[in-house]
Amino acid sequence: MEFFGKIVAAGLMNGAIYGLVAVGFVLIYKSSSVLNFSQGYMLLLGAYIFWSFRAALRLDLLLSLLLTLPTAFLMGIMIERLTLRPLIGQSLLSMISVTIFLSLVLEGVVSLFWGTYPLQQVTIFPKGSLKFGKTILTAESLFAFGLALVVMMALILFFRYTRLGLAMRGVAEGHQIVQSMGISVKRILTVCWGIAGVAATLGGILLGGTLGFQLGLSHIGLLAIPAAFIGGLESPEGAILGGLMIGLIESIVSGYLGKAAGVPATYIVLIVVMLFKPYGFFGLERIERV
Amino acid sequence: MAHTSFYPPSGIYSDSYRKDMRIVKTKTQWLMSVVFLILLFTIPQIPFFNSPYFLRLLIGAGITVIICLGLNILTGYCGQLNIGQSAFVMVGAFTSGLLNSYLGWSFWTCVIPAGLASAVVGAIFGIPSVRLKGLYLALTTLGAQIILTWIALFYIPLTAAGFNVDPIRIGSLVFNTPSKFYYIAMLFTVIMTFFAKNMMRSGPGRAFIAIRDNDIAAEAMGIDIFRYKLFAFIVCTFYAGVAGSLFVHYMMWAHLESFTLHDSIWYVVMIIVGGLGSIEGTIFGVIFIIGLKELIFVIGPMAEGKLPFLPIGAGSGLLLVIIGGVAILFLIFEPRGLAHRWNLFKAYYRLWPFGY
Amino acid sequence: MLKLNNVEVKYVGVILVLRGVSLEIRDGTIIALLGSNGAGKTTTLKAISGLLRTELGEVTAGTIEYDGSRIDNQNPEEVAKRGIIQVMEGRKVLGHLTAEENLVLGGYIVKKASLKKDLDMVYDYFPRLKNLRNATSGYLSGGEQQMLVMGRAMMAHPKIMLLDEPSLGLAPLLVDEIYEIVARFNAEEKTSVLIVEQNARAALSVSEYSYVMENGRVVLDGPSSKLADNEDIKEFYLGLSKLGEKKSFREVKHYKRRKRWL
Repeated sequence: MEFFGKIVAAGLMNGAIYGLVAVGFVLIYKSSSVLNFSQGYMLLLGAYIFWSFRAALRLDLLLSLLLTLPTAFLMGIMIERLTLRPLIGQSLLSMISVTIFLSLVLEGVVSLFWGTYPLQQVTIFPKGSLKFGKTILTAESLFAFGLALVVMMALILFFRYTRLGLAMRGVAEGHQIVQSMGISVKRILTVCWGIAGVAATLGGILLGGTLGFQLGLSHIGLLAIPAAFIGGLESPEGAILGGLMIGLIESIVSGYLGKAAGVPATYIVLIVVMLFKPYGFFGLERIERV
Repeated sequence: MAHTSFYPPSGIYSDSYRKDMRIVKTKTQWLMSVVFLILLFTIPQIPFFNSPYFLRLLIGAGITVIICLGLNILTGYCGQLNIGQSAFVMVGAFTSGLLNSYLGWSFWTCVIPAGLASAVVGAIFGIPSVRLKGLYLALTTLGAQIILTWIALFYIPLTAAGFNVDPIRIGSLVFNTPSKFYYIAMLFTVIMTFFAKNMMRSGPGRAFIAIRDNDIAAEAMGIDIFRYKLFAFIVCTFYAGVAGSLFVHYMMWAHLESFTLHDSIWYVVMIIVGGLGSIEGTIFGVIFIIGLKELIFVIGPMAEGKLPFLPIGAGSGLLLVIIGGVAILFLIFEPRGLAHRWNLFKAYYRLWPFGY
Repeated sequence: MLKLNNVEVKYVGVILVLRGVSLEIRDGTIIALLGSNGAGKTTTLKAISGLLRTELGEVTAGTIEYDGSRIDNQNPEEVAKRGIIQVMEGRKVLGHLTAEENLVLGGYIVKKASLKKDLDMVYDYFPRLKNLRNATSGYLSGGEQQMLVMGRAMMAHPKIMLLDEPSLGLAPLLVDEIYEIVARFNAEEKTSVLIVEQNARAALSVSEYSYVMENGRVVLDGPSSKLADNEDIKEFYLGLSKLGEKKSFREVKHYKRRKRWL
């Protein structure tokens, strides 16, 4: 039972991070119907940028964070400008392919500037842990989980109650419709990519703190995909919940069947869920009126 | 899509469907095809080109062409994005390798079962296409890549650590050097290319294109889209399996690391750069990307040497940046790939001086 | 004043849809643009509002001027900010959002402070919407959706409203109701309205001046009352035969009036 508790705790912690990355996916998909396969690599780049501030330049933690987040936002915007903007009007296959190729480019950029060897360790979280009955929760896990919840809350509030959030939901409904109302779709898409960049970077920083800053960080992108889909591609809140679900599944399967079984298991679950609920658990059903 | 800008030279016309569907339409084309084939098969005899390095490159290209032909059939002609192709290659490779290791079968008896094994697995992953479309289906292929790799890693003895495989024999000839294997590789490449071209110009090919362009309309016209989508998956993975079998008997060694997600992505890059929905395009794309890769492999380490402040691994990083960048540029400026450029060139040449 | 001068529009560079359209909308008037399917009416509206670009369309000749400055080939957001708002055909509501959220988005380009007042104004014009404010707009009935999209346009305080086929698929009584509201809106807010319609009768009754389009050209124009009496219009758009009665197809032998303007 104690083992199970430990697994569940670990699963939720990881899941929170997957959820955070999945949120970026969902934002981009919701507003532009593009699935960003390079989300994991944006995470990598963002995390490495943070590392540069923190470890290479030896800046204070808070300062590093404050410098990294706007940079991450810029990264998202630049990616949108340079790769997605020129492709407007082309098929969806082109858009998805460009994100796939983008992941190659981003990996290359990271290797080019920081090399392929793992980077020096960086401490982000204060040491310490809490005891919950027999399970021990580390400070970093709690922090990650807490952050994910905070982001989720922020998102729910953002989309429901702010004008920009409403505009984003509008853009997701139909680009042309919203243009006739004077809303600049291009600007909204740009902001979406910026936010996705920030979300990915946050996830990357958290992961880097626990797993270390190495190229393998981008593989989280692979896990965030099932999270986004199971949660429903149109719901940022669903993405975080989907992330938690995936984290749990991965953790439980890994715990009982061995470490490498975790990821494939999540994909098997993903395929099964999609066969029965193509829009995920929280996705918006197509409103069809005849 | 492959037939846009299709201008037969003046004077060439067809008066029956059969004639219209011919692959080779003019005497010049016949001549060029024959000359090309002769050249292709005599390369190992030509002094400059028959270095083991170059032949190895060509063999690799040939096998990759087979893989990409299958992929182009599924993704280019039928419109179903497949980012797990290298996993299907792996299935064929390991099937062939295991049949050879355990049962001692020769390559010639392994190759078809390898293709079929891949085809069966491909069909399994094609089943979700009954409910899923486009993006969601692409995800199942990603799942295929991950799940199949995991199965190979844990559930099949020998595959995790790698194992030895016999080379190909015919009678007393053993094809265990690049210059000998070259013939086998090219033989298979030519045959598979011909089959692909033939299939795509006939019924199934047209059905695939219909499904790609508007599957609901296709269904309304009487095309059973599920059956054809499944068929496309099967053909694609059969090709992958055959290529895998060739690969394994060439390397004489089978191991997981040759079949990664990265490779799957490379294959997609190749068919997009070459031209989706075009057999010639597949060949162009493969040659272009492999050529570019080689170029950077050669230049990369040199650059690393000359600019020591770059961190370790920058060479491979540069490779990725350049090829990924090239692929993106292709998508922006020539989404129909090299095949389209080639068609435009041919049209220009034929219409000159009236091209405008 | 909005002026179109010999506007030519092409899609994808090759499909010529408008072949020299000229029309004028004076401030505060209601103008009708009539024509059968495929005449180019919607394209004319989209040329004005800038929505052509997303459909690979372009104004390739001629000018569109609003208050003296050119607005052809501008971004739709820019045109909307100048006060020209298009209500697209087909009742395009933002399906997953509630009715009120749709309206709020409609007022996106207007200062936030007047939001409450604007909402009240719209609910005053369309009392039915007030009850439906929190309903998911995708599930509203056709008439309610049409009211919603018009209200959404009103939220932006347009100087010119481009209405594309407001009566499409609506019950006749509802059509009358909507046209009454259009007339009222025009009178109270001094908004010019350009109505594209196939329902010629309704459009002619509410507008002061009308244009008839065919095959990408304006073929007839004039004060609406005169057009309503025009024999050709009666025959081809109002379904009335020479004697002013409904046409009986039983009596049609072979040839019928030719269109005089061709």
